Amino acid sequence: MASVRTRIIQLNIVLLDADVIIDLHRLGIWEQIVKRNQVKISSIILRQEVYFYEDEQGKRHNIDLLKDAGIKFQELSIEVTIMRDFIKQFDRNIQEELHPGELEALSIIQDDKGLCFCTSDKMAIKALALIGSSSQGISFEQLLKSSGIAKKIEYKHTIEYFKKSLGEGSIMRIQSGRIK
Amino acid sequence: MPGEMKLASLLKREREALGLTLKEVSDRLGFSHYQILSSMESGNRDIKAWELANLSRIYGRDINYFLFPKQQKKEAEILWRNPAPNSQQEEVKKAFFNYCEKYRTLLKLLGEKEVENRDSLLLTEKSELLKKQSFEYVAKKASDYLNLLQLGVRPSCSLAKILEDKIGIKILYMSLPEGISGGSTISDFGMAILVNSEDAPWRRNFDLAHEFFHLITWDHFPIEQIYKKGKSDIERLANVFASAFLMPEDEIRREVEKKITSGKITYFGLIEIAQDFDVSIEALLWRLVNLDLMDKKVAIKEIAAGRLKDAEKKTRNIDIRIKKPYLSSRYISLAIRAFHLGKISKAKLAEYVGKKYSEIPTFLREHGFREDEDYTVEYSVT
Repeated sequence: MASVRTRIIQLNIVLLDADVIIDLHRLGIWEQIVKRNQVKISSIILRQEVYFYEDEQGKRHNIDLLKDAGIKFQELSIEVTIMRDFIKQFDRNIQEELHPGELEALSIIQDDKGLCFCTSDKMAIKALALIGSSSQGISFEQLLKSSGIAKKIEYKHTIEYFKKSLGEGSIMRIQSGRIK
Repeated sequence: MPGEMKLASLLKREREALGLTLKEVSDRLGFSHYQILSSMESGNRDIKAWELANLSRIYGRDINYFLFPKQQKKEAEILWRNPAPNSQQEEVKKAFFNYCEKYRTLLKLLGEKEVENRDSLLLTEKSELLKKQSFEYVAKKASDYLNLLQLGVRPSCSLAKILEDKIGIKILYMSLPEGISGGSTISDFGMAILVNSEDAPWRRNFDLAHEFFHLITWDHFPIEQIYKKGKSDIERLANVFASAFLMPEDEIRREVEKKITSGKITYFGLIEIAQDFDVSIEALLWRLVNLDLMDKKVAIKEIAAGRLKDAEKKTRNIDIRIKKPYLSSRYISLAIRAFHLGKISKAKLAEYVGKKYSEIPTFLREHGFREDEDYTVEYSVT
């Protein structure tokens, strides 16, 4: 009887940032990730930021995500009042540092403790710590590992980079009085 | 809810100010019917964050302008070079002010001091400007400012950099639609100059010097006075200032002297001097007239004939083809630094530099940076 090797893959319920979506496409593993995880994307990121990526030669490769919304992943959106209340928790700098897409994503994360946020953006990771949701953060490397995918990745996608940025965010949370 | 009604009316006001119909905006948003937008504007429909984000883009505003509307104070004015009303002028003005605000924010996020000290720059003697011999006075002042700013013998070479880095004037180069000129302003964000990046380099230099004059005399002349029918005296003074500022008298005399043979200067000689000082041939001819080095009638005839201008276009074609400036190198540098130091996110960087999110890796490479490198290293200096 042939033996069947099985690997336990942890299913993430994960909200993806723009950078992560783009690099999943660049690496050709988008389909695997959406199959192996419950993927969610916030509306502003979906509708404003992820349209294509450019390779080293500057050649554009289109990404058409909207056609898969509700099929391969779920789109999450919030109302303006929710976003405003979220921003009001912090000093005014947060509006200058983060894009509305990230503010929307972080607002969703703060509201849903069962959701992870996967990002490789230093400022977004720092903000995750700032809102006290470090435990809901997941690096690109972790996402790949937990999905059983091995790929060579850039430094910004590593667990090390993620932890380092979370650390900076935690200091910001404790020291700078950024939270009202 | 009062806050939401305020947002609703603000959205309506912004759309109307740009002369856009409900249908036009709805189409750009991808709404199936304009009534959705109409309901938003009347406060009868909750607005999603993504809808507001898209509307902010269409209206050329930062989303925070709608999220946290401030007490409406009188908006600053731009002193346009060409004040002819244009339907796109309002859009350009918004975009310009938006970048000026962002410029100030970047300085704040990076802990950079605003170097500007406007008081020390102001041209104080208004009475001198109103006298009959004010042209001589302005030319003399241009020379004083050249020394003050240490612009050297070829001011065009370093003018933009000195005004931006040393004085702290926010200079922004934008591709302006036809019929819209550059201009200058003073507002909460400080002194700022808008330059048309489509113009030839020598034209941009002249514009900078011209607008600099307006900034140092800002308090003396109300905008309406400058906009008086036709070319007002103040505009003429600004041109005299720019001319003397970019073409220092001693240097022009020296260069002309070198090129004179039997009391005449050749066609090539003039073009070479204009290129040397990076000014237009027309500006050079007027400077020669003002310095009594050329007869006014000869200059007028030459300018009208357009021969020199044609030659200038051909010989300086290469300069026009050089990459056009985008926003400003200092502004771009601040934005990239803020991103690499983790002060702003990548999506925010895209917003600051007016690029699409996906274009950022290429944009960084074009400016000599890589997204994945660590630029946070610090070195000890003694």
